[in-house]
Amino acid sequence: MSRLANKEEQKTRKKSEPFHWLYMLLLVTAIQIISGGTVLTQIQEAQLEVLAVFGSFLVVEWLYFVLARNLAGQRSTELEIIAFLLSGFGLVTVASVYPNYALKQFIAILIGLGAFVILLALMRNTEVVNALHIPVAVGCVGLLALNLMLAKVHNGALNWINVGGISIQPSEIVKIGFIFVGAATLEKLQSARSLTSYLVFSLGCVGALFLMRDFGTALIFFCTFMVMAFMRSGDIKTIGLIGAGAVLGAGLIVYFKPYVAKRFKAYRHVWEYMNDSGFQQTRVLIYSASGGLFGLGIGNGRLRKVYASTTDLIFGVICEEWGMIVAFCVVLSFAFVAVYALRLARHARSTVYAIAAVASAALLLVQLSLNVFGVTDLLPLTGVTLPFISRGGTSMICSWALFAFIKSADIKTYPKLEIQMEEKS
Amino acid sequence: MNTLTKRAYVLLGIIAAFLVGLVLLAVSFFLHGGTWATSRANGHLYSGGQITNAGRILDRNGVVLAQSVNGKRKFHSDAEMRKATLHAVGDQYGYIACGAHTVCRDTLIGYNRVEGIFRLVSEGEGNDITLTIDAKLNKLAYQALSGRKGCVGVYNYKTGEILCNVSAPSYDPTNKPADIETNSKYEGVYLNRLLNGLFTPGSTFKLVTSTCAIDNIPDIGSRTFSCSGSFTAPGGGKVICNGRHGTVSFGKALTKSCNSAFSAIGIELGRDKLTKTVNALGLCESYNVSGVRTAKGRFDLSKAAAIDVGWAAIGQYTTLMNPLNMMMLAGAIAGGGATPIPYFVRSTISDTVGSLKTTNRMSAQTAATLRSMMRDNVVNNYGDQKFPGMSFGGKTGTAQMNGEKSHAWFVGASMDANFPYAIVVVVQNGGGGSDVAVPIASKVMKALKG
Amino acid sequence: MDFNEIFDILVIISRYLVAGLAVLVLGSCVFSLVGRQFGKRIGSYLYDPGSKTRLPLTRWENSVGRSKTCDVVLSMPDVSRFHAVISKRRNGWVVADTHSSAGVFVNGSAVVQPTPIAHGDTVSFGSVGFVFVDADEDEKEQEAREKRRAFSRKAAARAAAMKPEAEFYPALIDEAGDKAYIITCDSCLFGRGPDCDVRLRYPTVSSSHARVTAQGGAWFVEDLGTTGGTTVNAKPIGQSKRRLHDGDVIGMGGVIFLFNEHYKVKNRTDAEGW
Repeated sequence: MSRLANKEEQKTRKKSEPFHWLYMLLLVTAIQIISGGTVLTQIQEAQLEVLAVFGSFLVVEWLYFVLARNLAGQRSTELEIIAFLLSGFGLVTVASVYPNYALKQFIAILIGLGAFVILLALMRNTEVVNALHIPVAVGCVGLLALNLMLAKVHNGALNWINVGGISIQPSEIVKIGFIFVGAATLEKLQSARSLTSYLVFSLGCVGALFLMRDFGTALIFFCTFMVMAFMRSGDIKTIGLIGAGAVLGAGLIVYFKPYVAKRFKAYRHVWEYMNDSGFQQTRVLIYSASGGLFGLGIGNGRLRKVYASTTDLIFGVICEEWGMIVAFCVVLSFAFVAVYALRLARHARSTVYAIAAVASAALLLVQLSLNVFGVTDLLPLTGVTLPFISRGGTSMICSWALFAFIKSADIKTYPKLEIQMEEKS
Repeated sequence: MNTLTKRAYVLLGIIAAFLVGLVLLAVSFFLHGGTWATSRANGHLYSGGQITNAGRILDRNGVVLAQSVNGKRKFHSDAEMRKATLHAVGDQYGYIACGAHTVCRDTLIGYNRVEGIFRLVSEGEGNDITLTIDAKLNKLAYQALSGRKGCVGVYNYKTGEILCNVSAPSYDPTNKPADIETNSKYEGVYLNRLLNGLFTPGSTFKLVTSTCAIDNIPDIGSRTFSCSGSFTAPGGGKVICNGRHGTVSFGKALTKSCNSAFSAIGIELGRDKLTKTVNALGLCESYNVSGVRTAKGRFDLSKAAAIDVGWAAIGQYTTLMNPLNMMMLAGAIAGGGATPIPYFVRSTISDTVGSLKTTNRMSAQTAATLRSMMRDNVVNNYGDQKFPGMSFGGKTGTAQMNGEKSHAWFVGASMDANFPYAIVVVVQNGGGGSDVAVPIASKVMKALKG
Repeated sequence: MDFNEIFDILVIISRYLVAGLAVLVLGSCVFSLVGRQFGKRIGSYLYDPGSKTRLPLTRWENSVGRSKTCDVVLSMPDVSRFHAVISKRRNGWVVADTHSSAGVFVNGSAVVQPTPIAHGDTVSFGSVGFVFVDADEDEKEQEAREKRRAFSRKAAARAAAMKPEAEFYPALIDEAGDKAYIITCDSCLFGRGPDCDVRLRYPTVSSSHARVTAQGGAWFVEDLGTTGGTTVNAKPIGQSKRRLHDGDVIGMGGVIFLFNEHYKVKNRTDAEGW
């Protein structure tokens, strides 16, 4: 009897649901077909491969939504719509600039989607999260240590490992672990109230990144750490002290190692150094402004010829070719996802989810700011990627994983738990 | 748990900071987008520092002065014409800072905030620009300067349209001379002397002293001055006159360009009144001429002794004037005391607003007095046949330079309401005003009259 | 118009189309996310029988302690600042001692590892004891009580309407009150299966569900090891044999019946169990 009533209730709710995922998916598909089709008419090489990649991407996309709705009972799939739309933007742009890279990018999206699903499953049970803390922490530290030992100099930063021809960026994977380790149940937080062990772990990560001279990622980790430490303890004094210490440390480094400061000498003076250290920023500004609100059309840009156009500078490429409206919508949607994460955290069923969602949203926003404002010279250029859109496998996986952390905080993600909760209320 | 989840509001701070950044970014795109998009590093527009794709530049009669053909910038076919219009049109590299190529870059490229430079990239064309100049007249004026440095400007003092905007030396933008940076012949070649030059005004400045005298000495019309070939200032020092004029009236003093009389008037007026008049006439101001900021004149008597005031009254001492501004003075006198701010680019919205802006310089009465004095000057001195049928009035200047040949000046205007044009001619180190500058002015005005 | 021209027009339109669609999709996604509605909070609580106060447990994880930042603030001297955490897990509620000085006890035994707590358990923080009330169980109890009351009212009305000359049998009367299952033998088997003395055609009732027996003038019920279980007055009887009184409510696999020891049978066809 009661089960029947529940089904009835679900049916009525489905009707009144304001968000029609199917229409959205159709629109997303339309965008992808238009943009993908444009790219296919333009590229000179690997057309068949790119066509296959685009086709498979669409199939995976539809498959995911159909399975998620019908098998996993997902009723709230907005986050995935956003993720697929942005991944699609990235895939199309990458395929348009480097047709031969499309397959790699697609595989990265697949792995990212896999990570998303696995993390959602893992996060279902807070006891599992608690139990995995130590192994994940050890893994993170190990990965960074391995990176420090093995990595070759790359872009002035030692942040890549080459494994059988595939270069991976451990710091991106450690981002996931970093948040995972920081997210704990209230019981665990209250049992071990001192920040010390968590502090040692976090500062270890930040320090390792600093040694790799990956200042951008180090800064992202540091900001995320501050947010998580605050969420966990609410201890403003200690956190303020750490913040002050970091500023002081940064000042000392700049004082004793002037070459660090030199890397940022073009900041706010890019037009004076427009042909050396301000080259990338000025080109982003020039070509972004050239695109206007609607862009010059995919493939018609010139920023794509500038070094790192599909990684660090991809915001500029989107601005130039897709237009300012699309570019600003993309970055604005992250701000709204952060508001969603905030509301989820307020209603979360465990502190694990509250911490994970808030930390993920903060990480995404900080990284987004460093990228978007870095290439447009509002902040120093540190060379971090744009989540979901930049070329690069590990970055893509990390972006999906962060969305998984946010989604896991929503009770709707776990329909069985939700019914259990609603029955009582 | 409630306490912990409340801490989630820390996200609001991050979101707010992020949004502030986005707003800043949007605002800077709105404000600077045009400058950025038209940057010389923009590969859509420039290749090797050279503008490739942009709209055409036409003169008032539709003569094409510059256009893009197959991704290359082509100028007028006549080399002399190219040189004569160089400073108005500008060059493809942007060396000529006050040329239309630089000043109207946004319009030429067709940049706007909504579409960016989409039209240019997709269709290969920007917006055309029509200048108010008459290319043929420019060529004539340029040839009249015959290789000497200087400038010629003509404008309609009723509408503000500049018909002639010539500065020499000039060069051919399609065959830029190799020795342009080293040869003294090309000294200051990128400068538009009409808009941005500053020269010692010499006797043309007597128009300013006269304005001051008419406004401040009620019986100036009935006063006489004696000239013995030089004037001795009360505190010592002599101003040499260009002749022995004996006893002259105020009007005669201008016609004869008597230094003795004007030095005396200047000293009588004193530095404060002279400075006040110079400021009232806007001679030390900068004007926006189709987006080009003109050079400000220099008139500083703060440290001047009596004799210096005497020199200043006849346009010497440290005084420097901008030719366009002197032309505007002549235009204001002919126009009854006020003149619109000149412009040389037509058909852009911002410039029409600018062109309607007039500047009041003197009372109509003062203007009328000056008009008749200038007219007498032409009739009695230079000869009316030099400007036939134009009821022309003017004033020459021979600005003495220490150890160098004098600058030859002529400013004048037609007093005929149906032919409302004013002219300025400056020939740098050219010699006497009436010998050198008047013939050029005569040629140009005759050609304009047709 | 040839193909190329159409294509060019499409390209021009697509610039605006892609921008418009992107705004539409991202806009409605974030609008839907930000406007997400959240369900009600949990209604479980700790009950203090002494002062008859309720301390609500509104979240899935609730901190208990003397600190004002706790969800349940207990300002007693032997309660630590952060004393314990009561959390709801998938299988039920759990209490954990978070290094308190005075300890946590469930029904008198000290909590070392996180310990499950059930509805009605006594949870003590140091010397301060509470009865734990699980919102689910509480609600179920309330419902059962209500039902029983309504049932007794109906039964009383029915009994009053009966005439004494009729034949009387003990019977189970269903919830709606329109079916009576008459018990005609001293050991009567109830269930869904065909071998039963009284067939109960409910999907949640096992094929052989319970046996009602008469012993020394009293009636007893016993469960036959079913999954749904049997309850008397909302209390599971487990393996035990339970004495039945007139007016008891018997539940079999969620279906409830009123036990009427003297049910009047007017004609035998309107009752089941023959």
